[in-house]
Amino acid sequence: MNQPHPPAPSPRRQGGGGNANGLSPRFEFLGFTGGIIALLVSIVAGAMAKAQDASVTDNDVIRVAERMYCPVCENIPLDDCETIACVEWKAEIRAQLEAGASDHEIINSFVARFGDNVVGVPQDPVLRALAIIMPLLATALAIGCGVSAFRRFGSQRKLSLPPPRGSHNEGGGVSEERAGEMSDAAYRRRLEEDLRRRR
Amino acid sequence: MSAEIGLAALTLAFALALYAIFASAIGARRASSQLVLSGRNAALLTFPALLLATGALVVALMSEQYQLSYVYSVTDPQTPALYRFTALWGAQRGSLLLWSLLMSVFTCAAIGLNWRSERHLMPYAVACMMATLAFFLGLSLFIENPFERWWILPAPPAEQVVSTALIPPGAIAPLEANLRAGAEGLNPLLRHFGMVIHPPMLYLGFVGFTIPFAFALAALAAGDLSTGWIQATRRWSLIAWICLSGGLILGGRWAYDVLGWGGYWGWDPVENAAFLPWLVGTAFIHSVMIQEKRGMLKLWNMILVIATFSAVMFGTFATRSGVIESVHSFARSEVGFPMLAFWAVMTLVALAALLWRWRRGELRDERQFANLLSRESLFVLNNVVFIALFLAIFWGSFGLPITSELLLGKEVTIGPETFEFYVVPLFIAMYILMGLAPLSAWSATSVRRFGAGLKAPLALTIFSIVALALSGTSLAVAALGYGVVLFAGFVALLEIFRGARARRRTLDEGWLRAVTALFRRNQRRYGGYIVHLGVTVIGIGVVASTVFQTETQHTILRGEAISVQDYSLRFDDFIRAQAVDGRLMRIAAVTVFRAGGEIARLRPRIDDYPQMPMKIAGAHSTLENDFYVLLMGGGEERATFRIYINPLVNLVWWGGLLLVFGTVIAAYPKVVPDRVQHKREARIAG
Repeated sequence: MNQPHPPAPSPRRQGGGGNANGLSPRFEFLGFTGGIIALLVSIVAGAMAKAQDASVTDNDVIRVAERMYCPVCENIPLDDCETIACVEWKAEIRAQLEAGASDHEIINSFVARFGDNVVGVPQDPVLRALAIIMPLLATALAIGCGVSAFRRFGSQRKLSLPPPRGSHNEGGGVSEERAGEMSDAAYRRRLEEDLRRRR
Repeated sequence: MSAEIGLAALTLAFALALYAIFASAIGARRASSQLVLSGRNAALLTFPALLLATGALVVALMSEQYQLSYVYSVTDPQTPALYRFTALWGAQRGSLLLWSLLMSVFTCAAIGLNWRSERHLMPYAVACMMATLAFFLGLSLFIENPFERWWILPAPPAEQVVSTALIPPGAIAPLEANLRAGAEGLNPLLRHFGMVIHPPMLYLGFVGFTIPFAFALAALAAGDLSTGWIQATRRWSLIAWICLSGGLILGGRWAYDVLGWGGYWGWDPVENAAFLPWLVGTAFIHSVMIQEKRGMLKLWNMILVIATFSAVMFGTFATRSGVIESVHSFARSEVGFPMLAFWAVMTLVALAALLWRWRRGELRDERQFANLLSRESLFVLNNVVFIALFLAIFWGSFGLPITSELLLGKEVTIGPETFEFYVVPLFIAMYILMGLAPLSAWSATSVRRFGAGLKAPLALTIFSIVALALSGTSLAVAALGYGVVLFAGFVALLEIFRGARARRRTLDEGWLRAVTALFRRNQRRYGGYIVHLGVTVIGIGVVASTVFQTETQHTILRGEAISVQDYSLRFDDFIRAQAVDGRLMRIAAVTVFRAGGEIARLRPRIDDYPQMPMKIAGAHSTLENDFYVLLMGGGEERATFRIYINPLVNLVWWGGLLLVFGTVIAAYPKVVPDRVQHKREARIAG
């Protein structure tokens, strides 16, 4: 057993046999020890309270798990999978969150160990670029094809004289457009004309 | 007996299909009407043969003939009668047979409806349809035979159990009692009412798009590249489109009910495999209108119809070969390589024929674009958006995972976050074009008139956004989403209103009569607007349920409650039970309150199947939202619940119904001939 340490010298302490308040050394020792204990208790309680404030909820785990995928059943989000591996992963996510890791750090730690197939957005820069850039290129390609088609048609239109057949009445007629908003009769004529031309 | 009948009928159908291919193709080349008719008759006979084969399998499923290894693998003695029937498409072998039966039905219907009007195209079309049918029948006969049976081979030193279609010499049948005891039962995920309709609808959509492809290939082979093949197949395209749309929506509903994740679309490769043909098919349905009306985009329409068929075949290959789970798995899958080969051969043959006709100058357009501000130009832009969506989703679902594993040796998963990054802007563009196109006219529209047409829908859209903002919707992304979706819907509504008003004023009709007559006069246009309204309603549901979804999970003691928004859920009781099919159920009884008042008593549960546990949600559905609760685990005293509040999610299903309804109007054959109707109106108009 540890023996209680003698009280540390106090600036207030003046000589032996008593003190300024008239308390015996024994009482002084008990008071000091009690203060230390109270301080320790308050520190521990504060830390516990703080830890409780920062406790990890199911929603926190879901937030991370939703962005990951099951390592066993491909294309099943981790959050929705109940395999043993997924249950363990979710427990590990909780543990990492409790240890203070950020969502990004947790995901990166799994990717580092298990590869890019455990997340919905690849972390590898090459794969990430391929995942994002290729669809953008595909969109640009489709738009480019459309634009080039219009340009080609535009240039052909300039060469072809006279103007396209039936352009006066097709779509309501140029003359009617002067009125801006079409009259009911003109609108109905346009509908009928559309119908006639399809047959 | 079912196995023998089924196998004989399947073999007969395969032989008939092969004969039909050669008789039709050779008959067409040699102009031999006898051979052509013989090929046609053989094609027609595949239907009764396949009906018999499918009937035999259904009888085997219903009468519990577990010696058939297919029946053994998809049913067990506890399976209810409904799921015994739906087990027909519950696994690869049965669903391939159903695919073939539907292909045969569509072929017979195409022959019945188009033989006279498209006589010169039909032999080639029949050859193409039969080639597709023969391929699938070949898979059924030689690789995935649904009529294989279990046999015990007395092969010393130990007996050997094999599954074969033909009886091996000296083999004996296993004991019925052993088979019944070991039967595996249907995959639990497929035990849902949605599964009764969803797979056949998807197959109908897939098979349906084979018909336009067959006519396109026939047009290329016969050299008749006028709009005849388009007119012959437009209705087929619409029927296929309805079925595929319905299949996708039902699939979403099934996922929402069964998969237990509170959503309906997860950008999973299997879902995307069915969505890809829909995207190209939708582009095709819009694009053919330009060829019909203006004689333009002949080459492009051919490319689109080939791409649609190609997407159907690739989707079928990808989902059945195992390539989605791992790029190496098609080496293990027995149907993988034949499917890949068939897909490649059909696509290459079609593209080669297209290239050949194009180089001969036979696909030149009859007219050119007159104006950038015209309906055909906007339709081309619409096609650009659909193709961009197709390419982007294809890349994320298949292109990148396969490339990554083959070239970089790394497995990769592409999740919703990645898809949404590029798909959302494209969908916004799609809705904007959906609003602009109906306001334009064919050939040319002046800026002035276009602007005049825009005023009312834009004003209504701005008014709606302001009203939403005043009611508390402050998210900019939601305002943008609602804005573009509502704009498209207002245009469709106003176009119907303008058409009815024009009839009302010029023909002196009442509103109801005017609207009815409008739809009867031009089913395609106004059916199309109903489809646009359906897509608008779906869009509102998707925006609301995505942007404003609330999700929370808590573990509580019995008697305690979880509060979410103005709802609270109280855990009342926990029950363990066993269903008639033998599965164990863990059921939580919960009460849902809103603003203090009780609104529902729900029973979320976990079904414990031998294969897997399944979480079945309890949901309180209103038009405003779904209160969707899952039991995640726990017991009598303490349970974990996950709660989702999905605003306006039901609009997704209602919009889907509206979409199907609009397409039915557009595709429905005219009851009153146009000529008669036109005379009637002329008489009224004086």
